[in-house]
Amino acid sequence: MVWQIDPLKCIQCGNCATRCVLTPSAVKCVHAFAVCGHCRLCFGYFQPETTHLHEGAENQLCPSGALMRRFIEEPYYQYTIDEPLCFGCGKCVKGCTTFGNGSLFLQVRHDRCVNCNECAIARSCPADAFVRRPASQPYILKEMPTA
Amino acid sequence: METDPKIAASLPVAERVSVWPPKPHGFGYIFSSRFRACAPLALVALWGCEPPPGSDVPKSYTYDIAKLREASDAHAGWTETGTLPLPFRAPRALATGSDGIIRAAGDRAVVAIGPEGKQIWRATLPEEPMCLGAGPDGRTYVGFRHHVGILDPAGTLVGEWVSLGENAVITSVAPGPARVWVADAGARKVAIFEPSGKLVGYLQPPEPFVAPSPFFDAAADTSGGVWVANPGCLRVEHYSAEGRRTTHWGRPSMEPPGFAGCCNPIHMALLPDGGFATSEKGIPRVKTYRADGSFAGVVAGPGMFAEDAQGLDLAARSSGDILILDCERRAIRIFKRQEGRGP
Amino acid sequence: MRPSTPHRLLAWATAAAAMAQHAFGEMRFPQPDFESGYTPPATPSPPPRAWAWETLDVAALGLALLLAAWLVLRRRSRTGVILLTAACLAYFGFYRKGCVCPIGSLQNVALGLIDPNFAVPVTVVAFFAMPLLAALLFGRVFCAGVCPLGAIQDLVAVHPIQIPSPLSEALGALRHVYLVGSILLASLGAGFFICRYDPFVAFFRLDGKLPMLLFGAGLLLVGVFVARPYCRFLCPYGVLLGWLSRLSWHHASVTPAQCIQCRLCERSCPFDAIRFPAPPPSRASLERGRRAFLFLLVLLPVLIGAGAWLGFASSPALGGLHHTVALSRQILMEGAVPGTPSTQASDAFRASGRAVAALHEEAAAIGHRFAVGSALAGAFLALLFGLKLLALTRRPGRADYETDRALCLSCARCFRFCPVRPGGEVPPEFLTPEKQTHGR
Repeated sequence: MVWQIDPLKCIQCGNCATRCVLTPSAVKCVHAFAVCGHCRLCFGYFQPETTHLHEGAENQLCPSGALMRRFIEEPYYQYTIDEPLCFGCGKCVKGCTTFGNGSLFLQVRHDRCVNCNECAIARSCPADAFVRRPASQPYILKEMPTA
Repeated sequence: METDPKIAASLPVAERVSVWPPKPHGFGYIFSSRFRACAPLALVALWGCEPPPGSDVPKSYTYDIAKLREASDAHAGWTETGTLPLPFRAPRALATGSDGIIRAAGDRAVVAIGPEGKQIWRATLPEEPMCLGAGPDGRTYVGFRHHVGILDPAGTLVGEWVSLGENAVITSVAPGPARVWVADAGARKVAIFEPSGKLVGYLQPPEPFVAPSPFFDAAADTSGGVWVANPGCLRVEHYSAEGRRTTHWGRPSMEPPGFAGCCNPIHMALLPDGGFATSEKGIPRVKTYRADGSFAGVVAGPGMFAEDAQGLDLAARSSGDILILDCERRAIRIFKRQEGRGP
Repeated sequence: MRPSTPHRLLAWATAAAAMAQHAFGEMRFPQPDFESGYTPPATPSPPPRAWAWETLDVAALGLALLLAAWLVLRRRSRTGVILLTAACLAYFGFYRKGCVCPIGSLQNVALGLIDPNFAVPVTVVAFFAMPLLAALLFGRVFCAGVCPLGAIQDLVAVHPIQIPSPLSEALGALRHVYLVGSILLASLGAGFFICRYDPFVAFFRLDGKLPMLLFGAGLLLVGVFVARPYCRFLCPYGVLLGWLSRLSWHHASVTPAQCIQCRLCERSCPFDAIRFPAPPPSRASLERGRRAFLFLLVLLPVLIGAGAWLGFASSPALGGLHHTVALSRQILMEGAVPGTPSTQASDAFRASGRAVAALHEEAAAIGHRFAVGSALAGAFLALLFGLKLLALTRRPGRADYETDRALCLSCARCFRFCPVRPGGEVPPEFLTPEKQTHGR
């Protein structure tokens, strides 16, 4: 059994960044590209009230600059996460879930997680969003149904 | 039987074994002067070392949306005068006609509610409705996922139009006197139909519509044209009867005069005075704009809705009242302009 | 705080039930047609450690236990035990980062026994059971050479002092309280406190919160002088191992053959686990002991009753460690005392739209279970205490230096102090003059 976050219950409180026994946290933001609106004005990426939509650091919402933006074609942009930089605060997730499609969400990354018997974040999670999953299905990903 | 410990201690065997493992010292050893200074180190506060969740999260790690919401709550000029509860588990859409009858859709049905709040008819539908339009001819247009269905003034399903394709997600039907515009968020296109059901073509915007989510609204005006909410561009655009874009208004902003988020407004309704009512998601709020697109005021701010309010379909009565579909409360909420206040 | 917006576009692999209530839930929403031919990549999802590696851990544990038993019982090699200890510290500690360990696994087993919805993986059961089985066969060889927590303490115990026996025994009783308390809390869902307050796991991960690092460092510092303080005064699993070790099939003994009473081993054990020879009790003291035994036997039900009552009385405090109970109390408090600051959990609960009455009901049910569980736990602790007192009234005589099977960690330290050769041969200098002459 491994630990995972149910993105439906997650409230992006920020505890994932501070409560993990690892530094940086084993929780990171992941992106369900198929759900993304590919918006030019992404509220997971930009600070509110950004006027000039360029990638300058002053415009970025992410405190560690881990969310990257790349032009695909007019008017669409791709957003990807630089996982080594991400520490799982969920700030972008909050912006994306509130204003956008919610394609950004937090997950326990199992290449980092040491699978504590009692997950320290789960213990602190105010929304009870942590669940134990079988190791064969370790992620709860947001994805489009196939049919 | 006993060996003198002194002799034992001097023996080679004992010497060898005393190197490793070490032999315990007497208990008094810890009280020798060199360890007294270390004693406080032994006292480690263990209990209560875990602060309550959130108390150690830096402010820069969290997105304070509550603060952004508050700015939209200062509204005046509109009061909620009543609610019409709806007989649906999951209400979906709302429309009013020139006949004064309110149509509401949800589950697999449409109900028509008279001006005094009584149900006139209820129509059962073959599939889930997505949106509603009330035609000037008294007919009700039901947008299903892929196609449009027609209910006659008595609420009987009298026709179904062609499907707009497998990828279609119809989010709005805007019936005008000579044309019916059908907004398809899946294809990011607005189809133009004749009232007879013939697909004439599509609106040709100068650049493609941007609909990142299934919210893409249209409303026919009295001049024969149509207003289309282009949510990805955070603006409202007008197209003439010929399908050309004539004007547009709206700008992105968290502040009440603008549209917040990546894709708003999600719904709009034309007011009898030529103005607009718009609703937004993210910061759930309903606002009015004047006919020229300038901001008029907030009708209902985020404080009036659930935090993750969905739907918020809009309709206007000929009296100027604004009707808001509240999916959480499963009701239509009626807002009236206060006398002598605001435009 | 608001809940994540239940999504309009998404169908979820697992959360379909939660979505059903939302009309927008099951809708598919197509991607835009990218003219440039762009196709969105898949979400990367690195897999967790493969199951095969988990079984390898179990195999490594079994091998290490057998090796420890062989080194202690056959080879009587302290050097071998030290090497094994270092190897196990490196593997189970620093490489596997201390999780899951047999000490923590007892909580999984306890919860699994009470809560049928909590699945305990086979590997965890193996981690729990194998050291216990080894203790039943060979004594606490797990403590001696395999346990990473023991290992890290054993390697720093360079200046051990001997603690007076009564103090050592009194502190040792803490283990029983910790065992019963942690089983109670784990089995009723309040959390895994043994893991929460594992003092050394932060060292294994080379990462951790400051209070836990300080606690671990403090224990190691103490451990320089008081050997293995965690094992002797805190480790709850050690209690179970001790019980089974009493019955062990083979157990380490100080001397490999006949004890010659040379007294060299008297101060060799830093854990106070060597019992000294004692004359058989006199008739008078036997009689006194018998009377005390009978008196305590009569007193035992009173003790147990008192323990049960103490447990019952402390159940509200213990129940408060369960997050549902804590949340219910917080919500009640916020309702009753205006101005009570809300917590993240209470905000999240209100935003979730769940019924308050259902929460209070659930909390009351948990509170009830805690009342019963705490009373049982208190009674059991009192029983253990009573049995300990009963045991004290019976002090049998002892001819030789022996290990206390419950306390002996089979660390092999004392072996080197014994001059007797495995075959029973005694170096001539240890023979008493009488024997020496006799020998010549």
